[in-house]
Amino acid sequence: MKARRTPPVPYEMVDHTGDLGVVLTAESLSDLFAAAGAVLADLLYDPAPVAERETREVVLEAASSEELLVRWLNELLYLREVGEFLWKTVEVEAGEGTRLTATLRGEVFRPGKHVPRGGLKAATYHQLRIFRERDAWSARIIFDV
Amino acid sequence: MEETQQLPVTRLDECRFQVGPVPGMRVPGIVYADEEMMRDMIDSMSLQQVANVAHLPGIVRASLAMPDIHWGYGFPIGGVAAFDPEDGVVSPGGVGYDINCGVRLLRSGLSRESLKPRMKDLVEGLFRNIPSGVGSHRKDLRLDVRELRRVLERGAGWCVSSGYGGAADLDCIEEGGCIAGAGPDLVSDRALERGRNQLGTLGSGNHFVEVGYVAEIHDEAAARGLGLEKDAVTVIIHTGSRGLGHQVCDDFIGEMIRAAAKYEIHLPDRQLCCAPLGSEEGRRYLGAMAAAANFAFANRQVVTAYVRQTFEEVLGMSPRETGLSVVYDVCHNIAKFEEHRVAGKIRRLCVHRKGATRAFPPHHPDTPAIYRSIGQPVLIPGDMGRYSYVLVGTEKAYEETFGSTCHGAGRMLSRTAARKLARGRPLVRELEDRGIVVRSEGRMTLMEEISEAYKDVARVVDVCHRAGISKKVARLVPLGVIKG
Repeated sequence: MKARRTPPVPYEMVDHTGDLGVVLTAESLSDLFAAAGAVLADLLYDPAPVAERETREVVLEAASSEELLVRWLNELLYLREVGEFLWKTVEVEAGEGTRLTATLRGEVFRPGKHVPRGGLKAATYHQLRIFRERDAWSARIIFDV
Repeated sequence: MEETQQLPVTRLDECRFQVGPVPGMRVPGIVYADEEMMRDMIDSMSLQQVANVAHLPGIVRASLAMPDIHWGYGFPIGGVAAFDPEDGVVSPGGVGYDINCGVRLLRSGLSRESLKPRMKDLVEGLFRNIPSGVGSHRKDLRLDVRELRRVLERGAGWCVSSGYGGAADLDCIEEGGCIAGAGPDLVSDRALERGRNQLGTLGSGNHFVEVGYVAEIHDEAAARGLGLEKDAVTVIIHTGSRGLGHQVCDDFIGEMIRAAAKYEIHLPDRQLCCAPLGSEEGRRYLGAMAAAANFAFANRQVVTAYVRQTFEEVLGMSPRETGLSVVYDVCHNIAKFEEHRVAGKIRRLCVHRKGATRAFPPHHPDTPAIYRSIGQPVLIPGDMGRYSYVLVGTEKAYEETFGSTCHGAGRMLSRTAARKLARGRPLVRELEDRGIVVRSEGRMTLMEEISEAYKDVARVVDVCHRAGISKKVARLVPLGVIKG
């Protein structure tokens, strides 16, 4: 089932000395990936002034849901860096946990209109964890800053 | 998920502590620190990471950590580990995402006093000419793929033949600004796409260009040999391989996770994923990593050209008058084959330095000829509000740490904690009151990079000096900084 998220999405910061970590919770695996995308937007720039003028489609596969999460976040970092694309709404369908299709709605960065918040090099596998407790899915991700 | 366990820590001497052994460690961990530093890190993830690295196959002598050690991902930041080519491994996590992140120091013929009235203009000019911040690029330097592959093959040498600097610059760069064996064909299209317009850019995070001056000289003869005079203006450039390097690391971490499973390598942390040095996966990573490292050398070379251009424009001087020349350029995130003496025998080893600097002794063939009697220069940036150090490598470093020493101050506060501490403070004014002009792409970086977020680099350097793994030469104080 598809899940859609728009920032702000609640998350906890992991107190990592060198880098930056987040823990977030969602209602389903698709929702977890959508929420992670929205949190990443919030970390990289102020999503408020981003208009939903353009879309980007993402399709990914990986060996595990954890690898899929790292690949997903690094794909978003790539879109931010190379195409200067800023997303606002993230719609994800993560079937079986190892395949993901997503639609991002947002626009290309415009100095003056958009406010960058910080740079992240990559999502890492360090202490990476996706876990399910009853109906809630959580993930812990550490980014290299 | 890995857990922190209480590790046995034994003091070996004034500046060294042994971590472990615990079951699974093939060699002990050795951490260079003073007593207070060790007290602060005793229950931390960083010591656990030192122990984790010691689990990897083919590790030689010890899993080492320098006094600026802090929690990284996989390897600790400040970690050094050498592996045997026969049964050892190479790990992208032991290099980091920013392949060949490093530091370059320029000296000048200018005095601190003469520059003072022009510092604001100079910082403004540097900020204009050197793109900084996330995804920063210059519109006038976008390479096609063919040219970019040449950069990956030739490193700083490509820049010199393209008019960015002179041949003398290359003599004062680690590996001459080009690591042999680079495989541009092993770099993905995606990594090439990220690198195409990022040559000559700073990026974000802790990267910077800093104009400063020689405030104190600790070793007159060595300082003279390095061309550093009291009160002379210097420039430090700290940046790496930008998005190209991040992408190479990311591409290979996926591959190495599969390789570690294929070769049945037990990993205490997935981010330590690795492949045997002799395997196809290992060789491919080393080729791609060398290409990314060469991109970083080229990046610092182009930034140097922009620094020279800015000084000339703003001060209305000729290159001869500004006299900006390269003292040295070091990598602090790298894996390289080097020869080291182990138990009396010379062995070729793959040395990983992640947040650590090579510190080769006087008379070593890889120490540049002009510094042969002094030792290889080592450049240790501090935080933007205090000072940085120039050191030289020593025989003891060559004996004990595979010729390695620290790389910086080392973070003490998380970025969240630093932001909390900086909230509401007039940071630019605070620095200006201390005689430092600062310009940054965003306020967030300044908040995360406040002095209080870092250990005092003087303490870190002092431990390395007392341990004998490098020798203090000069202290540099900032006058103007641009940040990503």
